[in-house]
Amino acid sequence: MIDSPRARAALPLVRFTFDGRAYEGRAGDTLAAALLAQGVRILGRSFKYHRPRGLLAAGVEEPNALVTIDRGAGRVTPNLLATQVEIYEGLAARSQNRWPSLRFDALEINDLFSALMPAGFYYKTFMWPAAAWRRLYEPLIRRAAGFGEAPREADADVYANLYAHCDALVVGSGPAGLAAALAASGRGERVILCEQDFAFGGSLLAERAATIDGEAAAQWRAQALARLAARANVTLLNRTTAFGLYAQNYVCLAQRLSDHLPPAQAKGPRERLWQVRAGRVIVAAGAIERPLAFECNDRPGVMLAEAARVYANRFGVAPGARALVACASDSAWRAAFDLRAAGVEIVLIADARASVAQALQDAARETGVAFELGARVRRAHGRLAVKAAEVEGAGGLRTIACDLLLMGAGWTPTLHLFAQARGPLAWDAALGAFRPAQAREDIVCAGACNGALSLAMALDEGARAGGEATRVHAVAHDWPCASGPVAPVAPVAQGAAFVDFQNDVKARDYELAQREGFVALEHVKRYTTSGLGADQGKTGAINATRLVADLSQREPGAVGLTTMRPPFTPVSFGALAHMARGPLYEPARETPAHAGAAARGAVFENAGAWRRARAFARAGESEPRVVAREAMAVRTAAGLFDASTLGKIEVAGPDALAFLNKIYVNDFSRLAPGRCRYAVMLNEAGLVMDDGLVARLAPDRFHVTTTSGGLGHVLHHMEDFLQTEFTHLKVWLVDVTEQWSCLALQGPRARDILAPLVEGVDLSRAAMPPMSLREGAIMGTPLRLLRAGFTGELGFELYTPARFGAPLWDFLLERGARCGLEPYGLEALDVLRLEKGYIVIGQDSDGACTPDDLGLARLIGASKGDFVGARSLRLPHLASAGRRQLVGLRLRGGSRPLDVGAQIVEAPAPPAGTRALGHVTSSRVSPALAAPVALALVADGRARMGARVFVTRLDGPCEEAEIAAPVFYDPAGERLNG
Amino acid sequence: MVDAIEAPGVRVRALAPAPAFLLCGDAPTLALACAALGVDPPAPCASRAAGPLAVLWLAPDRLLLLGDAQAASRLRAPLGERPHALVDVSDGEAALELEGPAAARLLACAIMLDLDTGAFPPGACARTLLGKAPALLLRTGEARFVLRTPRSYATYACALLAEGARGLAP
Repeated sequence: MIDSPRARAALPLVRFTFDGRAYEGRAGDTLAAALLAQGVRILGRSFKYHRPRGLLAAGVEEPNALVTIDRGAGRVTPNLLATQVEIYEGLAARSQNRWPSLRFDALEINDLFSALMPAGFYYKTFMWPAAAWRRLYEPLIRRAAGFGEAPREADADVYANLYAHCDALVVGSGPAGLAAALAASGRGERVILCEQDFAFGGSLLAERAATIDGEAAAQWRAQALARLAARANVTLLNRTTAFGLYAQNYVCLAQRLSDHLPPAQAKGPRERLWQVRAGRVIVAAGAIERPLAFECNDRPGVMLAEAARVYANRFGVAPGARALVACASDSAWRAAFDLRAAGVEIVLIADARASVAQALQDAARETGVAFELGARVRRAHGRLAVKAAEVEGAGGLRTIACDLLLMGAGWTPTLHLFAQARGPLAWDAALGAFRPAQAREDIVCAGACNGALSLAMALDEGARAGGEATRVHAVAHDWPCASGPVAPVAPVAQGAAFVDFQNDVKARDYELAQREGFVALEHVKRYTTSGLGADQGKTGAINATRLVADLSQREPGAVGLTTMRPPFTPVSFGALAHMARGPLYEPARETPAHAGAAARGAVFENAGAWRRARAFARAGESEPRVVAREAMAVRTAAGLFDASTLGKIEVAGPDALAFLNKIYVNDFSRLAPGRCRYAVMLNEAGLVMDDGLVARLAPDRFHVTTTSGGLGHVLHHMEDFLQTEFTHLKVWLVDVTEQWSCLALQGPRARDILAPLVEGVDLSRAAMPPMSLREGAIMGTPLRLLRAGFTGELGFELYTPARFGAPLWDFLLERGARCGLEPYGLEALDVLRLEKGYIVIGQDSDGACTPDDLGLARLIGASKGDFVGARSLRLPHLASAGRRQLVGLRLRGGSRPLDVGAQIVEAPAPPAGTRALGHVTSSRVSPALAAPVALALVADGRARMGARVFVTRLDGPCEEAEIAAPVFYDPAGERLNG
Repeated sequence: MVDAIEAPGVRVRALAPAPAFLLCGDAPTLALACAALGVDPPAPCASRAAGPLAVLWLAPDRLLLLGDAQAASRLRAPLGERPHALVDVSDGEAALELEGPAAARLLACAIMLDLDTGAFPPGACARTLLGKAPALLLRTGEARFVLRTPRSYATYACALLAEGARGLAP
């Protein structure tokens, strides 16, 4: 324990800078403790009024001392709490929200005009002119208010993630947490004990007098930690904040691994996100001391009493020389006595309560500490540091000089995690705060966060929560812990009496909100911004509730608290993203022939998680030229396309045919083995869901393809029906998407190229007609060969086991080169399929199309009986007039494609409000036709063949077009059947 | 794709492609198949091994037969006309082996299953996610795992484990 200047002086020196000035601290200091020891009183400027601010607290509840830590390029972190930052040799810290300096901040002028800036003044003042809000007011306000600056450079650090499981997660390592962890791990449970501080022990770290089981608190703590560390079933995590408690005891912890080390020594990840699934959670998060609201209660030197005790007892730092204690709780008396023992003069304990325990009064008299009951501090004097306080007591108002003004109105259980898990809270009048109404079976609050403020009670509750029914710790020199029932905010609190320090919300702002009719606390919060800061009102929220309750003459329990949301304290984006950054943000799925495509100049694009070749560019070629070249190669010679991303499902079993007849609209009964068919499936609403090929390998085996992006939901749809509706069918679905590579060889020379290369398949027109399937071999590997494609040309799809995809790609391109074979990408494919009017599901259909809307009614097997969607197709509105139908659009001249999504109207300049006939779904310039072509969904489109319509342009007047059949190239299909 | 990852306490290497067959059928059919292959039917989320062959339980109607190229032909006669599906999926997945005392810890960077030996003992297998990739995890020893991902996710899986290895220390 570093509870004296002498003990402190024995610690190694640590040099660091704050705002560029050199300081010295001691090993084990927080930045706050080190600066306090060096006499630095101002650590920040307030959010709105830019008032000078010092330390209010010593822990995570600190609202004022936010700093920026600079660890080099890409390692600048704003808004860190000086009370949490550990100093190291060379640490560079900066204050925030001030210009030019902390001691003189130009915007402190806001404070002079603070009367003009009450709650909600933004909304009232910056109303006019409306246009000025975005350009002028908001940028100005954002500059003036707020804290640190967001980093501008990419985060240079590494972050880790770990999924963990345990029987008991103990949050907090104070007496309750240690007792709980000892008890639970003693029963053989897997225990994780996490502590947000770098040191385990919580309140034990500042405990001078009490003994546990005959040992000094510090000694007991050390022994407890040693026992826990020796147990293999215990994981001890310091510097680790449990920031979110979600459904089913899924708890997220942020572990800070290297920020406490000089950058040169920091190896490995900066932080680790722990995603813990806990059998039960024991929240032993302690309690936060309540401040009092009086005029200028935010001046540097006004501090929570327990914080001063922690600085004195844990760090050996006296936070002042002459302290006045303004309180309404027993614990503040203990702080006063401990500070006195540390050499701080206690000028007065002004306790607002009319009576306090006799033991306290006796102790004060013994040590010669003056106290006054029923006395309240009305005001603090001093601007950059507190110089005196006005105390109102029995003898009237008097001013007492002091350089430290301590506040302690009682304790507020730290219920954030419990409340995040929707644990019920109840108002406890004796405590003057909310506490858990009842424990949940799997989330238990123990110790101070359950309202058990004494050491003995905390140890007891911890042990019980850990599962030990009998063990009682013997505690001596424990401390009484009564507080209240004095309201922490005096009814006459005027002027700059702050309730929410971080967001600069004064007591009178709540009064204004009350006058303006804000009743619900959540509304008061939004209007006043109380609790909206990064500290989420850790010190202010409870006082806000009591003030609102008093103002509206309600019980605090009826006013309640605002919702507590994760994170408990701010978490870095790095920890949340952990490994999912850059290339690991999302998997990049590559086809087997990916490298071969890249070697031939492929430019890839994202299609879902797949990387697909968009085009194969040659040096100096613009993309439209590439696309036209590739498309013409397919029309005139041959092209090779990597179609491996197609979803592939093997449907096998004696009832495979019956199942497919139910899932697709088609009737496959007469589909012979060795044949395949274009097929469409509907959802239950009768709307087209996906399309693909269904090939029959054998009487009881089918090879089915889906769109590249459709595999997941198609397979799910099929399994869903198989497992719920068609349970009598003996059929199994196997996803073979990754088993098979698929290369599409398309074009008039496709047969010439392929014939000499395949073994065991006759490719002639007679032996292998369109939509047939053969099994053979190529390069000595098994081959499933489909005569099919998406280009309208003679073509084949070559399915080989995936490992042969890459060699086959190179082999075909080499052997086919003399026939003019070229690889083509998605762009050229889109041109080719559009020329033929082949639809792309999700582009030309929009989730509201029936087969008939898309011109596919002929696929429906009329006599096969029921199938998914059949009943809906009989609904009148799916067959009514006026439905949008797929048609082609031909332009009268012009060489620019239409805009996809453009509206189609009947008149060239329709008046506003005119209903569009439809919209363009696909649009390209066809190199084969040397003209733009498009597909569109148009109301009653097929009845409008040859009609003149107008298509809107983003950048000019409407363009005239003619409605045509949606097949622009080779409408008779002679090329396909060649 | 990385061929191997070395980190303190764990070594990751890519396994050579191995024969794999998916067998689907009702419980008696699967039991018959197991008998023909010389293994007891595996319990849910568990596997059985016989020589080079491992039989993994994937679902109530589904087993994965790994490591024996003859497995399909060995089943042809015993299964005969019984309704079933037997599909070669040898090329569908890429496999990694993780070995060493830190193997479970490395996997836990991206797999949310409880990998404690009590919850996931040697022989256990489960379909799960490795980060955002589908994965099949098989524990082949106290400190040895086989991780299979669809072939197209293999690059991502390796890169993710390499990044996870960077995050192991301290």
